[in-house]
Amino acid sequence: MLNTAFLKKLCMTYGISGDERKVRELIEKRIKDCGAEISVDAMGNLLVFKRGKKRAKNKVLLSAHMDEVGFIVSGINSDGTLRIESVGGIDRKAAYGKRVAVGSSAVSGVVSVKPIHLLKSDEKDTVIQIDKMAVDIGTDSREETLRYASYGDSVCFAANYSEENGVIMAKALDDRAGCFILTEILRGELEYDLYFSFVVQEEVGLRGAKAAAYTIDPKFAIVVEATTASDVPGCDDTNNVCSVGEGAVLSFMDRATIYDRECLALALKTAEEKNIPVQLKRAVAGGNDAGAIHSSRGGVRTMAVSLPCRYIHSQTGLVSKSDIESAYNIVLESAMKLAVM
Amino acid sequence: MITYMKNLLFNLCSANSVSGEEHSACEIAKKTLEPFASIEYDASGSLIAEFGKKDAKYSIMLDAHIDQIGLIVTHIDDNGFVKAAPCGGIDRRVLQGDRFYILGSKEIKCICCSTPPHLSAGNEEKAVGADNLWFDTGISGDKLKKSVSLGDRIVFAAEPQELKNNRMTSKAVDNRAGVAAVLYCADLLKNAELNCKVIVSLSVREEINMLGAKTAAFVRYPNEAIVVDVSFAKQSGVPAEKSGELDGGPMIGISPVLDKEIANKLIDAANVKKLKLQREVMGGATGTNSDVISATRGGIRTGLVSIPMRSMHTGVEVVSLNDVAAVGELLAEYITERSITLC
Repeated sequence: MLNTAFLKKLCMTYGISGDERKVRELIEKRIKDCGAEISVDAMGNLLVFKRGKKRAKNKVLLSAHMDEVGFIVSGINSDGTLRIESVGGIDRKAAYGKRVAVGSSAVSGVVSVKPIHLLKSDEKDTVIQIDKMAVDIGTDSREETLRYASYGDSVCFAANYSEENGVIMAKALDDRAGCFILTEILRGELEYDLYFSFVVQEEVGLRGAKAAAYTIDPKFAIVVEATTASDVPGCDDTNNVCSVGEGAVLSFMDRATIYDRECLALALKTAEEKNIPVQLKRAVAGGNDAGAIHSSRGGVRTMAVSLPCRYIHSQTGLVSKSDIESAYNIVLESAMKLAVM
Repeated sequence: MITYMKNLLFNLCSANSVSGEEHSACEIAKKTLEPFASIEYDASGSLIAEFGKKDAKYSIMLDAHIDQIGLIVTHIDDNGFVKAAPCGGIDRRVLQGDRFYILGSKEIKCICCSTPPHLSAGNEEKAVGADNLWFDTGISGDKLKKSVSLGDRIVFAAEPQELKNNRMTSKAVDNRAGVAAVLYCADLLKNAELNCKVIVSLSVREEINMLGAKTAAFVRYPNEAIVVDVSFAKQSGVPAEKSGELDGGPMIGISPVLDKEIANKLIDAANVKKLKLQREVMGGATGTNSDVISATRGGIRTGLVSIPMRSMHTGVEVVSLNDVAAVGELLAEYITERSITLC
């Protein structure tokens, strides 16, 4: 079993799109002694090459994104509260009444809630838009707030992580779980040469991956992601996307990519040979860095391995440790096969 | 003093005591009162403490409800999901995606389920319905049923956290802030030679039907009572005329159901102690225990002091420790003065 101590560190670190420095530094520190060539590009992507025991026939890239969804301070009200806008797609219910951390020193705040006692009956079931919400850090005026926070500061869901009964509940599993899988692969011995990118700005338009794919110019790529698990009450099997605990998720198509058929077939075959639990994503929904990578330069043959994650893009997601294990195994095995395909 | 108040209130807020199961919060409060007060639990489960002059003819009751809002388990499915109903007026707009504990034979962490966005298209603004509250434990149904039973309570997992300016956020600040103020008052008076008896009622089930206050007032039937609760503070979206202000000091209740003389004496006491104060005027019932206490038996003269709060009935309730401490001081001054003039 993988030791998840580093995953906890990744999830507890704050880093919304465009502000991934702390996450990048954490990963750099983790992989600096594993004999890889490491560089940081102009966008803040962490690009890594590690030699294997043998030379790869094909350049294979594994990619995961470092950024998490959150908010950005768009204004400061005269009563000292912060106005926010979402960075990445966040359901307004996931934001309302939650704890947040503001700016680089992680000032504690809460998304203020107008007390239910004071609402008209038609308001009681309606959640206001995120840009109408106010973050309360305990201050009373704009001047006072400016001592602790400023326009453009990052606002993150308050860090949380717990691991019990084979299940992890934590902030930012999308996509620190992917980053974790990549660092674990990097720290092991590789059969063939392999490229890695820990990219920025996935949540605001797959932007980091575009630059990383351009620079590395791989022939094959595997995007390691978290995806929406909808095995929750109220969603029946006919509209389920994937289920927690049933293995890593392989995709044939999502809203950003039609995946390489041969790569997918290879992954499915590998899973069968090696007895790795996998499931197919059962909806054309969502999208990830594959969208930018597969269309890079003259095209990159791309597959996606995702972790089924409930309550993605909210304060706390839920994944299964066994699925992380499956994803690690299928990514590593598939990468080695693609290297000599 | 602020450190004292912070420790006290953080401790009280850490207890998970939803209406009907208030014992753990009572036990924490008991530690403050035990050294100088006689203590018992009454038939409803409220903690009743008495101190001051034992055989005094005049008694003053300080009431603060000790229960908190939460939910109650109504169904456990085979996949580890738990269905629940509100227990108290919980705000359904903030539940989804937040972390909770199920208070079974052990505490079980869980998340309030939300519908994935691709399946909730067009309904993004709609709060989850009271009949559709599900919690995800990530544990198999069989295993879960060994530690969770129908009727177990569910609470926000939101631990106390300090904010700027001696303010804090937590679940259950409604009404552990009131409890903390009453305990602080009792602590200030523990060595005083009072001519009256002080009855502290940390009453249960306010959020359901004010049961604890009703029964305690009936049994003890004090000469007067002061209820300590939280009320609305100014915040984004709340009309100024309906709210007090954080750090504006104790909010003295003025309403047809409250005793006018007590309100005036409370204002006098605030002035003596040079405490900031705010007047909270209501046209009728106050929505607090004072509504039932004042109409107990042949009637009890009742006052109301409230602590200004933001984001009430959520997991991110906010109060100022300064206000909580000021309410404690105000009550101590009021009782000291009352003890001299009345008894």
